Amino acid sequence: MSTAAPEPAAPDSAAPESAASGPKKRPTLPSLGLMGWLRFLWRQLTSMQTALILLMLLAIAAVPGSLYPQRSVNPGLTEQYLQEHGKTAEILDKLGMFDVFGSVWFSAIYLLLFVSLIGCVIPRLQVYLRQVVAKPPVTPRRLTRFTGYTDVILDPSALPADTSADALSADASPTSAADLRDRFAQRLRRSRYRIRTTEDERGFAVSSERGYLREAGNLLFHVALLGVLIGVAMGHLTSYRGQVTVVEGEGFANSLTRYDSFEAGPWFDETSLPPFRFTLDEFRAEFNTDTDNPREFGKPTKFEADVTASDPDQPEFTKTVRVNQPLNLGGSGIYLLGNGYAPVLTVTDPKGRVIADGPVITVPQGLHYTSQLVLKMPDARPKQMAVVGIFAPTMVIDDKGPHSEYAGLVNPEIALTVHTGDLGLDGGVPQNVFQIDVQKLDPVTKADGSPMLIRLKPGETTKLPDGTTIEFTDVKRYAAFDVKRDPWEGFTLAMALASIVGLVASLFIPRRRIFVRVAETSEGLRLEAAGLARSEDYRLQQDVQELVAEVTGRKEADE
Amino acid sequence: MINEQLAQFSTLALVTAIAIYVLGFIAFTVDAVRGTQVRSDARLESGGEGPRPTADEAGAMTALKFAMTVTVVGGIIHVAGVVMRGIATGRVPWGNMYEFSMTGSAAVTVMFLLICLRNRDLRHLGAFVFGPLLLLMMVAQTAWYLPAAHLTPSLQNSYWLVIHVFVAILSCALFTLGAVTSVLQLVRARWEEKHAGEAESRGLLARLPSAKKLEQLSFQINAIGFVLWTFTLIAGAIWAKYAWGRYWGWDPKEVWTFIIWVVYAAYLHARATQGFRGNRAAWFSLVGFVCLIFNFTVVNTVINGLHSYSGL
Repeated sequence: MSTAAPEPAAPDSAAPESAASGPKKRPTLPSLGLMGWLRFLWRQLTSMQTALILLMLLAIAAVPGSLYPQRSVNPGLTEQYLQEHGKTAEILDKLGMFDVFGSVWFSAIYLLLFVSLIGCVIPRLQVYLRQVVAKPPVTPRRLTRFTGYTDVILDPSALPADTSADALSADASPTSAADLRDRFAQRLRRSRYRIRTTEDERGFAVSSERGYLREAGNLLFHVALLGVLIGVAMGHLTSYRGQVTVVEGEGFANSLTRYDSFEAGPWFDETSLPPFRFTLDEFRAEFNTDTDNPREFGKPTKFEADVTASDPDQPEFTKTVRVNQPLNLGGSGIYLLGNGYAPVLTVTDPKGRVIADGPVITVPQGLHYTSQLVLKMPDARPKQMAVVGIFAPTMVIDDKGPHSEYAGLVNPEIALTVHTGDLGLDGGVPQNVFQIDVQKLDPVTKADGSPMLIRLKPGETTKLPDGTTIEFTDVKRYAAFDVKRDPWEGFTLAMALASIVGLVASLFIPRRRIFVRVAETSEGLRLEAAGLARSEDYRLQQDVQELVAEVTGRKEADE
Repeated sequence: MINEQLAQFSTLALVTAIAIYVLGFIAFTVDAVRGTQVRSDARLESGGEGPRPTADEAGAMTALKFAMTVTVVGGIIHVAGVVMRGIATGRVPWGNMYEFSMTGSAAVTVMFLLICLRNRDLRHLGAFVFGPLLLLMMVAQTAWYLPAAHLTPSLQNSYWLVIHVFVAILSCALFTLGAVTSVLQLVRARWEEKHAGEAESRGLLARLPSAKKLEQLSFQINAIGFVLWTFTLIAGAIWAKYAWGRYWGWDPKEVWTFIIWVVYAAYLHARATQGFRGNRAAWFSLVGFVCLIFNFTVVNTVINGLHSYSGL
């Protein structure tokens, strides 16, 4: 999994050859043996080709996750797809196409990839640690084949005076080969090269190397990716997430029973829900009316929820929650994700008994908040009762039926029908409170037998034939919040950021060696310099030449 | 609140920029074709004594100079158009596909000019950069145009819109330039194979930098693009956390951001894998770019997800 090294990424780990010592006497080697096979498989798995194939497989495997609805992302849409596509959808479902990112095959690919990553990183880490403590290798005997090879004869007396601090005095004695070599060594050390000086019959040499951080970055990048995977997995196991709807003026106390839906990881301790509470004081929504463009008209421009909140660590405080500006309470985030209208209805039966009273949360559809209203009244007698209809903040009834033309409260009205019968709530099967099947119920009808359509504006009351009254007193807004806590989020983020740091280092820090040798000859000092690129390094030649030019005071070392 | 007049000026500037780029594109093409002719003419005239600098050669230089001048002027007007759009709406000019395309193409132009400043030989690549760029700008102007408008609340109150999308624009621009160089690299490599051993060759491709040089350039561009894409992904995850309460949820756009990241990671690995270096690796970067285009077009318009609020 090397992103960088053009040379073979790492020598194969120096595994002890004990397993191979047995069959050594038999030159034919008919079988690899179990250990041999395991080692063969391991080598295959940790090879770069395999990593490459696994990466491409991972990319391909993710594609269906964007083409088919995913249960984890949108369960409703997935159900709809399953119903619409019948047999094909069933087969697709068996293949895991609706749960791609939790499927066996997707998991297999990324787990293999990470095993391959570990198998690649560990030997490289060993090699790297050895290199970090080692000195650069000695200067090769012949430098001619290296990058930016420079070979010049210098007049020792024409060299610039040594201005460095350890020059004892500005005496005019000619520079020796050792002196010049030391100047190079010093210059290289200042540029954060690691140096090694040697002397032999060929002259005085310095070998230098820098860019160790490149490999460190590469290792950091891969280890950090592993960290991201761990952070995501731990987060999945320990986090919780719930949805709540809160009507203006009402409150929310963090307990399982108050959630509309709640999911938690298997390691989440349900008794550890932080005991915070908040009240929705006001919800404000604004919509664009300042435009001539029909496509822009009525688009939302502002959603704001004023809340009063408290948790055990801090006294009551007020805050405005916006989209992108969540509220943080007791380590959990509270996110504004939706809103709508809740008309306040009071239903009283002929005996004067109140069978429903309070705001009814409606589900808005479309830009202008044509909202579905369902109110189930299992306490109604003699038969259970349900009210089904539309709430529209700006009601218009035309050939498209009742609908809203603008999301603001210009002409709020409800249009509904009333049904009686068994609501099926007693079977113990959980039902969606926002949906009801009216096929099995009997509509309340007018005298001529046609279903009775009731239209009410705020403050109006209607009386059904049996004497039941429905009063529409007021319209409130509600806000839908997601409550979420993932204790591993910070860890995952830190790992992701570390991976970027490692990535930058592994891509842009050049790893290189520069060699310089100075020898005394009859014509003067013979200077040889050259560089060895150990990674992508486009400036090496230039840098070698500039180094020579700078230290020797020559204008340009070009030939 | 929207400054309609300034928004109209912005549209005017962007359309003007397109017109100017067309001029530049023609000049770049003339430079490429004429340079070719000059070489072959010179060869004919000199009777095999090698090309000599002629007045025609100077003429070819003028076409290139004209192209560069025009591109700089077009670029200034283009950037001005984008800035005016931002001022007119009082927000960053990347709230929908039209604005994203216009800002992104401005980034490509600026980057191309900067790269040319560093390596003047690369000016000859102008035609190959402005061809696709003009296509994008024209599609954006005709099919994706939206009048200046406010952002939906989901895009408000977040500096991550500034960071996440801006970095995404930069990396898309880099990947575009990287894809152009990769294509040229592959074409040039084939040409080099065919013409290996010929003392002097002519043709459009003879004027391109060597396949090796193009490979290096494409790697440098794609590597920076990959770092910025990684950052886009992380910044997007942070924004997702603030907006939706989770940093990753496999929304279609997230899926494709991930796919693109994996493919470009494969490209970087391929460059370091025996048997894949050079031209084979280039194919990986092109696959990555195809995914990028898919992400920007099909995922934005056809597949419905959480990122579909931009009204295109």
